[in-house]
Amino acid sequence: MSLRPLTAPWFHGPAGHEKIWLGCAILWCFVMSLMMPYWHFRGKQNSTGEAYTVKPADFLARTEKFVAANRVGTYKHPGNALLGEVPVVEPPPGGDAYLIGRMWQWYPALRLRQGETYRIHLSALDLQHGFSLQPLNMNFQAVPGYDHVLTLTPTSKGEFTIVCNEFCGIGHSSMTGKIFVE
Amino acid sequence: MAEALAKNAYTGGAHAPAKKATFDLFARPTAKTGLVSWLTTVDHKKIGMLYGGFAIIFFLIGGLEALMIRTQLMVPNNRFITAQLYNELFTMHGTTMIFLAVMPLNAAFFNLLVPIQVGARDVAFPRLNAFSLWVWVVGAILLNVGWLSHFSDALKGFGGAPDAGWFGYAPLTSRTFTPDLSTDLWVLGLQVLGLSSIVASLNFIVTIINMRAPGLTMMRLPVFTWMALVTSFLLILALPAIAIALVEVMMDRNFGTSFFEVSGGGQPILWQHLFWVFGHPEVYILILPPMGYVSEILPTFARKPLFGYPIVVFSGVAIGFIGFGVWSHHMFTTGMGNVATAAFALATMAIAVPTGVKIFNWIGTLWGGQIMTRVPMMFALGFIWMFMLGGFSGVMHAAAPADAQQQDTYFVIAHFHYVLIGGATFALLAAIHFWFPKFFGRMVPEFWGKVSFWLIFVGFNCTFFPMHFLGLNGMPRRTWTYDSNMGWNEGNLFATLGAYLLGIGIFTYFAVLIYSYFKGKVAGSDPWDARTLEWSIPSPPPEHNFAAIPTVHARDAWWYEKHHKEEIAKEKAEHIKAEESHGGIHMPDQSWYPLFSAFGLLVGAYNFAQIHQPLVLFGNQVSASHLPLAITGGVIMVAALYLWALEGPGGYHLHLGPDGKVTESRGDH
Repeated sequence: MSLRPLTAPWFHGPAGHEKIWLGCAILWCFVMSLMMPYWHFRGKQNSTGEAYTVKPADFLARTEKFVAANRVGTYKHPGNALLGEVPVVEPPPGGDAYLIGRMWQWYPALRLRQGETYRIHLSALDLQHGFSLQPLNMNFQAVPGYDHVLTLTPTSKGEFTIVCNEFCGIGHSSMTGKIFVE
Repeated sequence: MAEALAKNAYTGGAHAPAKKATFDLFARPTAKTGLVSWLTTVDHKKIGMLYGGFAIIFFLIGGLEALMIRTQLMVPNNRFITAQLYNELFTMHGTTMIFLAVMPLNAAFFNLLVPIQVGARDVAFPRLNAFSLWVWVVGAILLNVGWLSHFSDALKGFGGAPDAGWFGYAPLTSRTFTPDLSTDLWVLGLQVLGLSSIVASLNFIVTIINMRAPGLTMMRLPVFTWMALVTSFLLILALPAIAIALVEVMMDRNFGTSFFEVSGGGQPILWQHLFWVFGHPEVYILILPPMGYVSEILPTFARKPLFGYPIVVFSGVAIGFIGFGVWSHHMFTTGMGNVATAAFALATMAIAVPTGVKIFNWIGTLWGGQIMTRVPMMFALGFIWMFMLGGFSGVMHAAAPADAQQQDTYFVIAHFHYVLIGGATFALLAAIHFWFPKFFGRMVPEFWGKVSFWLIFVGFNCTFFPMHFLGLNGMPRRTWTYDSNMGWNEGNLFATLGAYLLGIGIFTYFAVLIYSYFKGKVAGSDPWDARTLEWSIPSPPPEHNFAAIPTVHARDAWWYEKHHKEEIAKEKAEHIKAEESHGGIHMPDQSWYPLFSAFGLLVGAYNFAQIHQPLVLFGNQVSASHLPLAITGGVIMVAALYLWALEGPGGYHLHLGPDGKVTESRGDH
């Protein structure tokens, strides 16, 4: 209760321009809410959050098979000896690609074709890593035991860097990988 | 029996003399000053000051950790500190600021203010209150003891401070990846802090619901007390989730289970769910009490009652409820699927509504008021502005597609520092400045208060605003260093310089407080012409708070009293007479046992953390494991709790003389 008691009637329902403002606010809420699913289907820029359980050993075996079948070269990071050499692999257009995060390396490097759609299977072998594609800055988590599938169509050519953005121990800051788009 | 007791209490008959069925192993301490009085105190004001003092020390330590982090990130490829130390620093910066600075500062204000604002003489369970404090100290020691390994080679056994991040994502916390003792201590330290919080929360819930003065209905409670109540419920409901998660980590580390071990069929994602179902309500645990301080400070300095009081209260409650349904917005990028993502995105956006309502109410409070820009008001106004900015970026995270660009980048760091420094810390600094005259009896100089405000305000914005851009440019969190070709150089340099300015501001703020403690102008009982009951009693408050328990007639109880002096004086005289006829003002006795049981917990938890390691003293192996010492600690704790139960409630009476002098009596009256 305030210092002086309120005089009745103390409540006045919305009227006139107040109703217009409230109406606009509610309408805008609907627009914003509907934009999310609309843009998901129209803009095709969102991940659908497709994920499966997988044993890390199985995922490693699948990746090794994928690397052996599609290897086109090797890549060595020029400034970072810690990362070692990784194979460069080109998945068949429209096919599946496998990408492993592990302490502290992204394996393998991928070479993709502009305009083709790929299913990138993302997982970690040891502990949690974060797939962060630079300079676009798209981030997804790579969790051991999960096969996280990103459906992806490269639209611009160039060299993209994957940095790890989930804390994974002492080598976290130097854990990088590569995706080349031609 | 219960009926008879209740009848006796209500009919005003004298209490039956206490039966001598108690057992004191140690004489009950009665010292009112000196070290013993602080170690054994059950007075909510002293406990609040201890909480506050320890919390400010940890706040400054956490700040130093932050400055070291910022120095390391000032330039690319910096080698100021090692990657290992960097990991320890950011882990402990987060853990310290949340659990050892902001939470205990809030606990300090709960202790200092809640009993007085509800018109009570102490909390419902004074000894339990002391127990919460000392258990909190145990948790703080367990978390920080690892730092010692950096100072002496003899203490290398800790393996440094915890270094797995404050979020401790499994399986990084497994024995394989963090074999050091520090992670075990981190797990038990958080567990112990949780215990402290649950005990304190129960205490405050009972105090607020049961110990309100006559006439103080729930809808007349000061908003701060309401927020303390909501926060206490949040703590009780949220902490069990992290307790279970921490037990699972402990089992994985020490006893060979596989809750989070993928090779054993475990699920690392389970940790994320359990951690965030605690971690998100925790965010509101940090921010709801600051919303309470601001709701007290704004009306005082706008010279108006709080605008829309019931809506402010219900919004706080609504935030508490919805806060339990938003945790997976921390996991949008784990691949949860569209339905879960959409549900949590909508819930997260929904929580912005009651938050926005509160902000409108605060602005409504200012509207048409006679605004006095004293220092607490400046911080409170800063809170509204900065918290709003943090809220805006919060809504941006809630949009799941946008979150994919922000997940674990510096954008997130910018966001939560805007809500936790611009929000919680600004409100806490406002509150410290506002209630300082009440509890220390001295004013803080206006000029220097304002200097520190502007240093903090400018420094804070220079530090964290550039981080929005760094984040959107892809700078990931928790990286020790970065390459110079990433485009992050200028932003980081600017942020670091801002951090130094912020550090100077914080230093000025506390230096001024220390100066005021000794040399400040003596404050009266009501220097701000404020509205709630704590301003109706002398500064600093006497041990028994109120000479007469007040009767509350209005929401702004003390403003009402100031305008109805005769009516109130008559009432108070009657209350004093009635209380004297009951035997006087009943005060609780001090006790050693809360401290002793917490000590037992420290010994037990510290040794339990390293239970499989051999016990080495002065270079000799004494025992194959730490089990005997862990058991000893447990025995000390249980024995102290048992003796605590045996010592009985104790207590003595205070009598007010006609000249206002207070005399003490013990035993039968």
